[in-house]
Amino acid sequence: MSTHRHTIPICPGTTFSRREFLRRSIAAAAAAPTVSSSILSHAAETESVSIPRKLTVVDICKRYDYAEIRRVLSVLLDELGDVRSLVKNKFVTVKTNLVNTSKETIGGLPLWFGVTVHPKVALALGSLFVDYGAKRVTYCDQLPFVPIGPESFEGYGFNFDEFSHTMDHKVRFINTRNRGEHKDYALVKVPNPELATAWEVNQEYVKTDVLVSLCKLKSHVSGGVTMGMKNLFGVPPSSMYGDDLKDEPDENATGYRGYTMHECSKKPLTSVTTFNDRSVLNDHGFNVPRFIVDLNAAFPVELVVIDGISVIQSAEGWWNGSMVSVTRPGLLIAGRNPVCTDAVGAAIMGFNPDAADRTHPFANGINHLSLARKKGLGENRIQNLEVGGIGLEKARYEYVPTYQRINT
Amino acid sequence: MNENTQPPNRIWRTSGGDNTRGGLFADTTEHSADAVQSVTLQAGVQSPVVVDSKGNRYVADMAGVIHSLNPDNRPRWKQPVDGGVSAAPAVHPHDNLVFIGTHTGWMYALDTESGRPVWKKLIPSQWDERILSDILLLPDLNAVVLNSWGGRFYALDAHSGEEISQWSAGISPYASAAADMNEQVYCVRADDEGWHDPKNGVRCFSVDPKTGNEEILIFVPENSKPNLSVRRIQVAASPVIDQQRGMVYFIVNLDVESTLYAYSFQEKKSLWDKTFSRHLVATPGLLSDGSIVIADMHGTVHVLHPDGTRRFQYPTGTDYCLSGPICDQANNIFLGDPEGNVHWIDSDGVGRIVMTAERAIQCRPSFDPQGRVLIPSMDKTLYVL
Repeated sequence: MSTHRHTIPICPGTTFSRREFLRRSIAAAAAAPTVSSSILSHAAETESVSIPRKLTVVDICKRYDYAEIRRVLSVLLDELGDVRSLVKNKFVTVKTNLVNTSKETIGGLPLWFGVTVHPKVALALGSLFVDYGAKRVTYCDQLPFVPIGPESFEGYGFNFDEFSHTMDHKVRFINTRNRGEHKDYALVKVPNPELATAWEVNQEYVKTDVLVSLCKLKSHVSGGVTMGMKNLFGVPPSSMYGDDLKDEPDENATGYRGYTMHECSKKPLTSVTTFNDRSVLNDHGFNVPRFIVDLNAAFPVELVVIDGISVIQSAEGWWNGSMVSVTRPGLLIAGRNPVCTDAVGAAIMGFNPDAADRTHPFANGINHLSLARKKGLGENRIQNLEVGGIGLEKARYEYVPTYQRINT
Repeated sequence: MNENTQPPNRIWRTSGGDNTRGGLFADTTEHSADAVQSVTLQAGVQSPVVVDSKGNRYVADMAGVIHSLNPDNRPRWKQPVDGGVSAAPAVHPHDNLVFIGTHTGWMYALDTESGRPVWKKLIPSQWDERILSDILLLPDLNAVVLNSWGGRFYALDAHSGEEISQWSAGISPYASAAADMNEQVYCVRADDEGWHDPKNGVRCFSVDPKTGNEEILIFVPENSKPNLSVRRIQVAASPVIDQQRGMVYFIVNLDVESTLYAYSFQEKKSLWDKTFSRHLVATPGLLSDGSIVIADMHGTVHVLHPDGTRRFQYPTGTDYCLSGPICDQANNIFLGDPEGNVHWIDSDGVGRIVMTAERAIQCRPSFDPQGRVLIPSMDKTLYVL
């Protein structure tokens, strides 16, 4: 395997820290009061540009035992090689994968056994970051509850006191459904956009040094698979993108983004135009994968950690009803590039991460991993990827595939 | 009566030993935790092993390869099929055929000597073709019964694959059918007739496979709360028939709970029922005295007397149980858990872990004719205890 410098974004003459990159992206977005829908570019195969290929590591972890999770994660992160230096003396934001409510179950089984990240995995990861010298770890997600602090995370099993005690008080929980305690939102431009030319988000996702995506190992009806990349779907705030908005942005909104980012029947109520007109009404398989790529292009994820201990298969959430079933891969996965890591995750689930559009696992849409590769975000072809830890073959754990949606 | 449904037998041609799905072996068995044989496969396995009269084993894996092993667990043949397999196969008692249903909706009849397909049939489905529930074979009718996520049960001619009859399987059917000694078939399904329709709910019913004519035995309406509608109901555990005592046990998941119903053939009603606090997905087993063994989603194994009273409980120590138990005539209980542990529980409820696989065990074990326990795991290994 050869390593490549991350090529998105590059400005001539220098290499940026994450903060600098995002500062310039925000400035670029702000300088254009109306982000014209004429800024269109189709994904072009960028084989002539180096595609990042980063190591992904995987190991067995059968139980939600804190000590065992922490031990396995520490081995994985050390094998990645540069995580300690990545977070040392840095502010780290961990985007958690907590979906749209904590009040549901899978047939009585708590969500963290199937749908959402288990709090012990989040705690173990955060405690390691603190050990590695992180200044502070902030757990973020757009949650459908009014409180913008740790109270909103409690229903998902996240106990603030426990996290604070374990992490030497270097922890925050922020519900990013609105701008929170910041005066303004951050407007972040999308390079080479598909559907979103910019994102207007809570500043927690930009005023940080390191963005980590902490997610589950699942398939997805519209997106094919949902792991580190799709996890960023929770970044856009309800206050501008939510289903419960009327005609104006609303700091009190708590809704999901179905109308704006799945169906595309409504545009977000951002301060400037941020979506072009290329979305297809009600075609989730067209819209969702493209937004996934637009989010990842705007918010570079520097570490993906996947909770694959206990999950659901066939679809992604409790809202898929009786279609989903619990399964137990017993794995933890980590990688430094979300495209590469998600590709390995897809292969572990028994899928081809470079499968053609509208074929399994991407039966209902386009392959966002391939699209991301074509935009130079990372490699998704498994033969070009290095997998450490126990390796891919030993980790493989086939899932029952999802269904083929009929578009009406 | 046919040998697939008479009292416990040694030849486990289908999941649970025979069409009653009771999981009760014909004899007492002896095992040792020190004597575990491992057979390496190609992919993880979530489908129980089935056996023919010669003791040959048939293992279907999640990558879509069917393996046949001889009684000494040495490979005989391998046959790829279209789609992964998590439904237990079924072996014909008279003819050299083993039947397979796949995730891509294909039904196969393979020659047991060579593995070559004798026939194959794509089960029609508008949008979801998966076959996830164990195959049922009716030797007298010479029919194989399956259901597909296209929403239908099918009875197909075992020799040709031609359709004999079909009936509704409802939505998201995981549960396989069972059959009594007269080859009357028993099923569970969740019906969704539309938003808040009073006909929505779970039906436990018997059906004549020749005609598809049904008799509803138990109907449980859906919860009126929108978020707990019939679409949230998992239909996963197969009916289990206690032929000797004239009972059939149904598991109905509703809301976030589950109820076990004990239905009497003679009295034509449920004699008792017991509720569990989470959905149940594992098919129960039967002990020789008619006690019922239930593995729940708290990781606890419950054993109930035939009258529904508690006999004992055994904590597996795991978060939940996804697969059901098997039992022998001495009332030894064997089951695997999602952490790869194999539990051996005696008739007094004292249990221990006798071996641990590297990955999850997500299917019901089987017995071979000599009483050895066959347990496939997601670590691509078949363990023989």
